[in-house]
Amino acid sequence: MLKTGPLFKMERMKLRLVSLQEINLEEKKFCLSPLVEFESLKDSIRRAGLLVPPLVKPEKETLILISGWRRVLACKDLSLKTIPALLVPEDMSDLDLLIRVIEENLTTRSLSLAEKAEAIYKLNLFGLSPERIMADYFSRFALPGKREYFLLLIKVAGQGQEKLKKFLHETEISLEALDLFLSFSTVAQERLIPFLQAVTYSRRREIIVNLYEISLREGQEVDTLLQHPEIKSILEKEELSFRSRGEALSDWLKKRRYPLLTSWEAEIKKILKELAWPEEVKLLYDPAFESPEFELSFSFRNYFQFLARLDELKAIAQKPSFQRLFCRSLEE
Amino acid sequence: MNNFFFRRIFIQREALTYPLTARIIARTQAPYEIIDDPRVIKEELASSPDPIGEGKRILYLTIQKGKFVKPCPCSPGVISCGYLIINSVLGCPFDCSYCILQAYLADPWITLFVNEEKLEKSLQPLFKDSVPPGLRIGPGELSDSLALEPLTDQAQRLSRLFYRSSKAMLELKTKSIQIEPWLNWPPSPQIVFAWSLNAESIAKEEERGVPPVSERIRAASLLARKGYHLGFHFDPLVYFKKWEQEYEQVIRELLQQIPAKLIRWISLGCLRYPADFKKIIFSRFRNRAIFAQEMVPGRDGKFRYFKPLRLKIYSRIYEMIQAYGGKGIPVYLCMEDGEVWEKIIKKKPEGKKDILPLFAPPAID
Repeated sequence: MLKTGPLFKMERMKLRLVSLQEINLEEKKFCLSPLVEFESLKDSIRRAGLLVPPLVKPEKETLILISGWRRVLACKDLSLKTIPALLVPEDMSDLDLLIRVIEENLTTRSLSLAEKAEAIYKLNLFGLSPERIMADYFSRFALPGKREYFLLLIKVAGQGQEKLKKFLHETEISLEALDLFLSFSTVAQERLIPFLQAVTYSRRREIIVNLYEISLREGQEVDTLLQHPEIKSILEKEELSFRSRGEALSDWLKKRRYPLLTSWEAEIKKILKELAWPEEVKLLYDPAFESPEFELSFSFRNYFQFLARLDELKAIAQKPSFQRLFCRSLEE
Repeated sequence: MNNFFFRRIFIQREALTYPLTARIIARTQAPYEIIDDPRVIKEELASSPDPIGEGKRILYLTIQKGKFVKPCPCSPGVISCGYLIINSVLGCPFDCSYCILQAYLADPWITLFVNEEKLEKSLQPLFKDSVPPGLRIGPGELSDSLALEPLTDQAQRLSRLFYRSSKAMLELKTKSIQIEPWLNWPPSPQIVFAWSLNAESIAKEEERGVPPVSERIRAASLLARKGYHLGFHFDPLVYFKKWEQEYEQVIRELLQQIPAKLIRWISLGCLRYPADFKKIIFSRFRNRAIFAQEMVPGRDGKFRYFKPLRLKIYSRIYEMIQAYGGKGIPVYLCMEDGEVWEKIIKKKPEGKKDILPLFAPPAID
């Protein structure tokens, strides 16, 4: 088993000095990342040279790059002519090589969602069954072992636009939110990406889920929703950062998604303002308005402070708007 | 539900010798396999894109080693109706988008416990005179009480037992219309057939494989003509554009066809689901607007309509029941707290002593 397996074949790898021109950078079948950032590596190569040779495979008079994209691109950018490279035996299958690329990456860093999708897609393309991929890789990729997620990630890698892949390379997103996001049109996805990238993980999820659910409830496409004058005005405020606009979009969507809840929250704030509620007295209430109970807390140092606070609260309770705090009906 | 609904039957070796197993094998043409461990079924379903949907076509016959009778699980902070569950079947062949069993049950297939003797023995304590009046028990919480009847005869066996009950009542809660056997039996106040009803458009959109609401009311009316006592569950009540109009239509039809005096109870419960449930919905019933309404997490972690909206829905439905001749019918709320009870029913039961009398048979029949 071992003598024909990848471990045995690796023993036959040869270290050679190769011309950078020989390396075919067009062939990306072993590249997992949609965005290869090599600027940071250039300085290291300039100081110490190329420490780890890339892995290449001879094929039709050129060399296919298997791993070391950042290294090769950095060397090329530094105008080097030749670099040391490890040549793998020609009889190594694409699947064996891809497995090596994945292992190499997994031992040094965690993969982005876009890279995981690409790895899954290519493992499947090179002949590994979905069941094997889920069994051997999903837990190592920190993915839930469900077939629906296998299909989702295959879809991302197989059909996703480059902008989407770059977004998923640079941004963390839950698989549920991604699933919904893929149901949006490409235009809507691209419109939202800069704002989603700028906000926090939970806001990102909220924006996607709320857009999806508003569109479902109101029976209109996400594209149409994004044309709503208020959304347009938020997104087009270029004097504000993407983050500020993303947060404003998230707040607007929350109001639209939960109109009753947000109007009740606003009403409570308004009532407390009208009552000139003292800042030192904390008034706690169920944020979902499920429980009718309120809780009150304040601190005091002596008997007189305590009585003064009670008198103040008693005076507040006499005001007509105090009763409105207890209103529980939509009609009232 | 026809006999050939199941694609496969798995029989745990120990369950092989039971009469119910033999009855099921004789009545279905589905191929069966004898297994020692249900993990075989799990493995078979693992590659399915929809294990829950596929699981509905797999029947697993096994032995109930735990308790057959358990209290209905209720959320903390809500008023319990004191219901007891018969754990004889886990899972339902009907496929309703809102069904909580999709998240509640550990296994997606339908498990049927074939040790009927143990079940019948477990029910014996309920036939004592010391049982409080109004105690209800039924197999319709973790399954549908009648959906598998042509295969199992289980509801008929249970019914026969409850003829000798003086206090406890058997509730056969269902969406099925398979009531034929009972049309030739004398009615008993201890056997109550109860239908889950909904607005017709919700039933059409969200209840896959289930007879239309009008057919359920018709089946109920056939039993009513024989003098059977009936119950109805408007659960889940769904908020949608024409909710008032459509629920009014069902309530009017129901109370036109069924004499109110035969209706022992009506329960109301607004749509609710636990947090994890939405993942299942998105994967199995995508683009269902009913789950995109304004629902917020409650104290028990379940999502419900915003409380003022729930109060509005309950209050309108309650008014409709009263307006169409149901003034004397006991109405109760499922999984709601004291505040909602007080506002809608105008009373707040404090435990079993208050709630059970609500379901007790009328003094004179």
